Amino acid sequence: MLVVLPDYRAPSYTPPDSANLRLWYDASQNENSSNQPASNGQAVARALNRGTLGGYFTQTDSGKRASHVASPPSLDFPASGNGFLTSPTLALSSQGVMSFVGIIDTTGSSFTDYTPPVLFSRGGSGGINATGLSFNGGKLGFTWNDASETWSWTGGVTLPSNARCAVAGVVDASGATATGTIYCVTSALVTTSASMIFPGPQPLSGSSTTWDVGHDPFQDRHYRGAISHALLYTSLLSQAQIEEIAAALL
Amino acid sequence: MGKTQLTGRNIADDSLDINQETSGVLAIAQGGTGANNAAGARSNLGVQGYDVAFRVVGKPAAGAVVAEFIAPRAFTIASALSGTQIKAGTAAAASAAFSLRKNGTEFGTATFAAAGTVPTLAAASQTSFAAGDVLRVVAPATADATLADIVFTVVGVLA
Repeated sequence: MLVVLPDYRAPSYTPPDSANLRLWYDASQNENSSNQPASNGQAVARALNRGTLGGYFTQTDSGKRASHVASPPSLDFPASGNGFLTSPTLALSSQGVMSFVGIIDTTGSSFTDYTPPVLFSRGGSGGINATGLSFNGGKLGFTWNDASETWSWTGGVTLPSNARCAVAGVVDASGATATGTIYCVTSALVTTSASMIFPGPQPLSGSSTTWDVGHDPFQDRHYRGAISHALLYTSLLSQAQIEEIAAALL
Repeated sequence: MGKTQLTGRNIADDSLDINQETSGVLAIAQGGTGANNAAGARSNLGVQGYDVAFRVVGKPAAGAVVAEFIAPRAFTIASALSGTQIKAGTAAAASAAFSLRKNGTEFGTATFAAAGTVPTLAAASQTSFAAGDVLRVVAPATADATLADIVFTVVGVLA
């Protein structure tokens, strides 16, 4: 008796600047056979680090879980409970430049203040205790908070409602003046160039750091909406590279 | 193997209850199976195979699950993956090991050497799958630069 399984077909897309792509959540590459986590702590999706398996995103707390969306493959984050993913620990100490990219669906989202639609970290050891994209006043920007509790949010792009879009934040805190740009890409490109964030140079990540998809651990802030991809770079992506990613993954 | 024989009754009424009137084992040459149990019969008739075939098209992503199969019936995979055939269309650039797992636990590996298109197979012991067990094949944790287009036939035997 011969059982013939469907072909596995390699992903057709490799994001740009793969040497600096340190974390990639791809919902189409979920590990669990049913594409949904069966229990707390179970592997949900592969975490790729420079093209190598760096571990698995997991859901670790009790509560309502993100549900699987069949097409395009995504997780629909419920804004509560354990409806978020946590990455394996990354050592990115002293990174002064970062780029965040997410492919999201804003259906159901109200862009609640401080909720992050892509990746967010509370730092761990290493002198930084918050980094990531989050909403404020209905707009998407960049949040940064150093160990001395110097908090700031900057940027500001209004995302489309009930739409699938690519969002990105490119932040350079390596110089004396930290700068950044927030993007939202749909059929038409929307860009805002953030002014100075705060004095640099500053790190943007701790030395032992996990990253949550759709969640800021501080006050348990949850994004509501679907996320199919979340990418973290330790480099400054160009607008052309962000548009390339959007064109490939949207 | 014993002879098959009628057990002392005539077929006067043109009917024969073969369950009652025969004993022993009927040879294949006489239309039997040469065995008195299902496993033996399958083996004698050469129908004990339970092979699982699949392809990897292109270069597998790091740590990708390239095949997943839930067993609908019991079968075993031999130690050392004996009989299993795997071949790549494009050779590996460096050593690259696929992991064969039962319910998430590795029981065997298929390791391509640099420049190799046929992997070295390893499994410490025979692995038995019951109905409901999951066979999963996972690509190397680090994607090989060239290894691509791989055909697998994992050989099993019905239990």
